[in-house]
Amino acid sequence: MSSPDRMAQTRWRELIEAHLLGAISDNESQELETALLANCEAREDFRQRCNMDAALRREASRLLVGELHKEPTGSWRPFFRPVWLSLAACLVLLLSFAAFYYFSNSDAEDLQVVSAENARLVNRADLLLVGAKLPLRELALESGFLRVRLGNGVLLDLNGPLAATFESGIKMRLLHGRMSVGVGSEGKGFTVVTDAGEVVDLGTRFCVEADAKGESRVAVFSGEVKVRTGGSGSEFIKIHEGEAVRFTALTGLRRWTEVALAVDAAGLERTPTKGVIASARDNLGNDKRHPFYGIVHEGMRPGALAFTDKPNPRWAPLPSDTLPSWLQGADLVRTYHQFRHKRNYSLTLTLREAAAVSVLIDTRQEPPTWLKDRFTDSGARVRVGPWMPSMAKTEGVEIGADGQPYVSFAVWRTTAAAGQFVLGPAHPEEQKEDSVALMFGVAVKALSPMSPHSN
Amino acid sequence: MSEAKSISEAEFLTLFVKNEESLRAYARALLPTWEAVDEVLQQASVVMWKKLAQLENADGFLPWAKVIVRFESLRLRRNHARDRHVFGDEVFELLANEVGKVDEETCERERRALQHCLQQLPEHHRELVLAPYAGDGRVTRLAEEAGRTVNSLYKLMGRLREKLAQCIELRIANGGPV
Repeated sequence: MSSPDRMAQTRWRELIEAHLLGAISDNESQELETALLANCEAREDFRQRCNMDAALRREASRLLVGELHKEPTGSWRPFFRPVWLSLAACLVLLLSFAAFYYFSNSDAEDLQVVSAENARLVNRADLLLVGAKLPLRELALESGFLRVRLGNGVLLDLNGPLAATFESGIKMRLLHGRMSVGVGSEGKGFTVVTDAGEVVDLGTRFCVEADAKGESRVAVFSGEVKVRTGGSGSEFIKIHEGEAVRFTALTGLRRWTEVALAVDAAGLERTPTKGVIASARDNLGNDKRHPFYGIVHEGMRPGALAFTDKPNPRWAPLPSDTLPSWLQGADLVRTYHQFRHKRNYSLTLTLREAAAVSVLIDTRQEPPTWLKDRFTDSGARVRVGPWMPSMAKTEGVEIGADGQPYVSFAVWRTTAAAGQFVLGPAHPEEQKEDSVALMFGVAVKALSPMSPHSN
Repeated sequence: MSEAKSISEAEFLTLFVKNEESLRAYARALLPTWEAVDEVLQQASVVMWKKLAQLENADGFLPWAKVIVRFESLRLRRNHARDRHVFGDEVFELLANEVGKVDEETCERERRALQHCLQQLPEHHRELVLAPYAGDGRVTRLAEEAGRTVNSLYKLMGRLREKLAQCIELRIANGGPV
């Protein structure tokens, strides 16, 4: 190979690695694409390194499972089964509905019915009433809503149709259906197993749903849970308040952007949320499926997660600065970063009372018309990050003291009356399609200091 | 599914698990992120299951499965067309064709060579190379522990990966035991 060829090879290999590490800039990506188009050697290098990338990922997963098996087990055992069993279970569910099986259970503990609405069990003609006791064994709820309490105080909200079995008072298997779980200190470590993996409570309230296709979904309303899949890429990940993931045994965890739950069925209205924001809903999806917005009461503070679908970027004051007092402790809406390009996007907040609404917007972009019409730039600035290393090369991005990329956001404010308040898309109409601007954030604080919804 | 299948359900599971790594490596060449690969593999596995009757025998599984993965990758690309790191149509087609045709034995030899080359690295370098896949902020933690910036760690990672790739190439070229 001649010297210029060798230089070209060295360069495209650097670009391939940057691409695989997610650290490639836009210009570099273009350069790589040109090299791949022009050189079959570059494509062969690319193939080899993708093969290597996949093998490294698999090796990392194997090591991680090994680490997890060394964890103190406390009141639960790591749940392990061969991958092919997980796949078999998923595929049985693909072909048929709800297969039940028995675990012998010498535990005399019962489930106590705390509330019920038209709750009908399979193979039982009468409706369930408050105070009824059910054996801690299998549970098949044909229809309706049921709230039950376990002996350790764990509360389960079950929405029919649902099928589950209990291995003990601290571990249950959800075969299909949706439920939310409220766990106090006594029930910490409560585990829900599905055919896609397991969810371990760390002291929280969360919702889990399993479907007949073998996918499971978890949304955390407060606190945090630990989730791992049952597939070959098994890993534990913590899911925090306001976050949601979906997973199968085959493909691991993904952030969940659609919730196949109406607000009521999710139990959200049964557990009255604190705070001035009663709900946040966008115009995407349909009646049954819509993105789940994490609303964190008094959540606006340094280090708060900014977006529902991004695990890293957090709100923070500018260096050597503090958050304005009128922003600190506001209720935080975790928006979806992936919706930043949607031109027809709208987000409707339902406010319980009059409030100050703050929209935090990327300073690198021209504010959209709807923002300029109704809001005023407060002059306050915050920053959000860290972002992927590749962002470091983007215009307007600042590198923090930790060496990672951050972006400054301007805080625009207005006041709104109780009721519905609508926000528009992130990009102004005339914005270029390849804009690098990010999604906006939203924080809301009750106007009255005497409000029961304010801190 | 009422029609008789040549491959049983149990056989399908075995074949899928056996070939999953190859399918993931193939999808990785077509898609910009591991999240996209996971999504495509999930969709593709459902399609494979539904179309199992098309598969005549176990030998044909991998090429058949790759076609499905390619199709699902194409579909996902259309939904992510705005992503600046998604390759254009021409490059996609070239990669899909060429990567798809490489024989499995070659890929398996490379994977075995990687295992050997990985063991040649000092432990702390091995940990660094595997850190991006841990998904738990491990790279940031390693940077903090080492007193370095995350960017500088990514640069070191790139050099180590280059070293691994060259080791693999050399091992295969020299006919080393793999």
